[in-house]
Amino acid sequence: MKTNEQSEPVDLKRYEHFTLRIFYLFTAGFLFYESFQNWLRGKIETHPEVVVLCVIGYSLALFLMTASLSSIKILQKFKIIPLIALLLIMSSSIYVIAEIQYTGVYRTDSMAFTHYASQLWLFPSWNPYGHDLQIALEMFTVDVDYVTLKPDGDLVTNLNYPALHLLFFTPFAYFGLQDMRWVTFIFAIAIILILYCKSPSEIRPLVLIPFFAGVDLAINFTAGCLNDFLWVLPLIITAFYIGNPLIAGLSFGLASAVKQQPWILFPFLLIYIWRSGEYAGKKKTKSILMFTTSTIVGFLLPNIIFILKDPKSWLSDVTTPFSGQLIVISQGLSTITQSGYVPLSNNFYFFFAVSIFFLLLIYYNLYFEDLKYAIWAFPALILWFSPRGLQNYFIYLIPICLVAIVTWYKASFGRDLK
Amino acid sequence: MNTVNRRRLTYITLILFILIIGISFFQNLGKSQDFPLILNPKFKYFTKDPQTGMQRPFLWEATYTLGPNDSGFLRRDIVADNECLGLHLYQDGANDTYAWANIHVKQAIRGSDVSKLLRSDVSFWIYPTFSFVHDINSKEPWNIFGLEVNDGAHIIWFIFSDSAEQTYQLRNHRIVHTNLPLNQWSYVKLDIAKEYAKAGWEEPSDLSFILICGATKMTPGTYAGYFREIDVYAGQ
Repeated sequence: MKTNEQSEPVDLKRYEHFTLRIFYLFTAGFLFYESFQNWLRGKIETHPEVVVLCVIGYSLALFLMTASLSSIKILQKFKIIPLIALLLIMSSSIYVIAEIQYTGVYRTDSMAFTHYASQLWLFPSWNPYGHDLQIALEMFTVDVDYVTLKPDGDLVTNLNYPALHLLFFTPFAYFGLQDMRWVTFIFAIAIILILYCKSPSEIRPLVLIPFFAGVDLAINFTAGCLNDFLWVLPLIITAFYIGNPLIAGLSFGLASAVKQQPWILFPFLLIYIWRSGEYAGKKKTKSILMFTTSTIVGFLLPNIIFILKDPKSWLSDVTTPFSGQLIVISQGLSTITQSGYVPLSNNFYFFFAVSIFFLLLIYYNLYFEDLKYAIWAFPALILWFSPRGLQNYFIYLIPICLVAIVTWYKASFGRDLK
Repeated sequence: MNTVNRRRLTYITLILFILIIGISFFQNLGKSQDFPLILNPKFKYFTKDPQTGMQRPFLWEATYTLGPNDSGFLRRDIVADNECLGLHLYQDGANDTYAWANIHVKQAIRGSDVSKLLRSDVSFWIYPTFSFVHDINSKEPWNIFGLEVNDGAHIIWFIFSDSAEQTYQLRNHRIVHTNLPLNQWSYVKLDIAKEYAKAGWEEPSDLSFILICGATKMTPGTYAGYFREIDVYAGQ
């Protein structure tokens, strides 16, 4: 008669093999889809490199589909192939969309402004804050559908992000990189590899599936010039090292120094440190102080030069998203106003989002044990009620939620972080 | 905190939240911020017009009526230290198919936005460089720099130059000339609804808001005029 101790590893192995087969098949499906899309949009008559990419994509997809139904020996032998295939098809599709479909043109004004600001900061050492960067729209021939408007119809032409956003691009601008999408892509690769490598082997095949479940997150938004992976990378480090106030604080400060979205998490993280069992036995006040100090250091390090140069312009530009100076455009609740059905002012949605923020703050504290890991989804929840609830405000939290699930899994099985 | 107190606090905060959001909803209902009537009013971001192959400010449509040897173009200019939209025209004076050579830079206003525009204060900075001239007998204009409001059935020309102020109407064409000094920036306010009322025309359902620079063969030569920053303050 088998005891529980004896049967558990057998079950775990069986489960691991099953998830590996699913991962092979999922990757095959994703490759079929993306290779077909590249075949459609890649203008294969004039782009022989797309033909090569399609042939490789389909070959890998066929191999993975066949391998998913082969012996476990073959599966184990090639278990790194699905990861390589996903990265390969991701880069192929980004190339086809960015260079062939969009002909290298920047799709968003934010990418153009940040790229231009990084060049100006580098060469004439010129402070981009407080200046009109409209020339960047022409330099990078930004797609007209993705230019941000103000309520008076004027175009947003200032740099409205904290400084690390442009500093990440600076070394690449120095070496003459013409398309900063590839920098965002490098960050995406780093996120995928960290997620994959830091997950226990038995859940590793499953952990990337939510990331690749939608092509917006995996491909389209990077090809379409959204830079959000720049803050997601430091924030996944925060999520992985949430038990270490120094590393968590520093990485959180860096994430907040790229974009404003992570700022929402700060009070929730303080509650987390105060209430979490990971800090049991430690001096909580000291941990909170360490976290707060390292957050401030992480945030100020890249920003301080710009703040000292012109504090008023820096503050005015960085707080643009909160000053109501952007037009209502949203996939969130304010869609009902945007579409003309329910006429409500910007203030209502702003007030709604702030109320949700405080409500969540109270409930997070009240129901901490139940909501402990839900913290990472809160920015999406809050911003969905705001005047500008955009798709990227939601989907870029998926990698961070994945980290939380992995951390939760490890904690519930008593495994140490690798 | 024990379960009972926690539950009480949950209900109290939830009720408070619903009350606050409810009050906020009714306070803000009907105060929707409208989509701007005029887009890109500061003429930022010049893009290539696929139809003409020339530059135009983003979200504005540019059309040219030119004879074989006339010429015209738009560009971003800096005039008296101010970045602006420059309309540049050359009328050769030849007997072309059309008497006019002109440049239109326009945006279409449709539906309920038309009535909003008519009830709004429309102001802009303008820099005229030439005098308005018209036929002495027929009063038909021979050149123009200003704004055209065109609803398909009626046209209003708001003309700005150093000539004498006058308003008159030629059939479905109303001409409102405002005296402004040449070669300097002036801030002007328009009341489009008032001109519609004075002309006895019904308010239209669609209209084109057109920045215009033009000259007939009667007044050959080189023309330029500049616009910057249109402000539209929505009326009640």
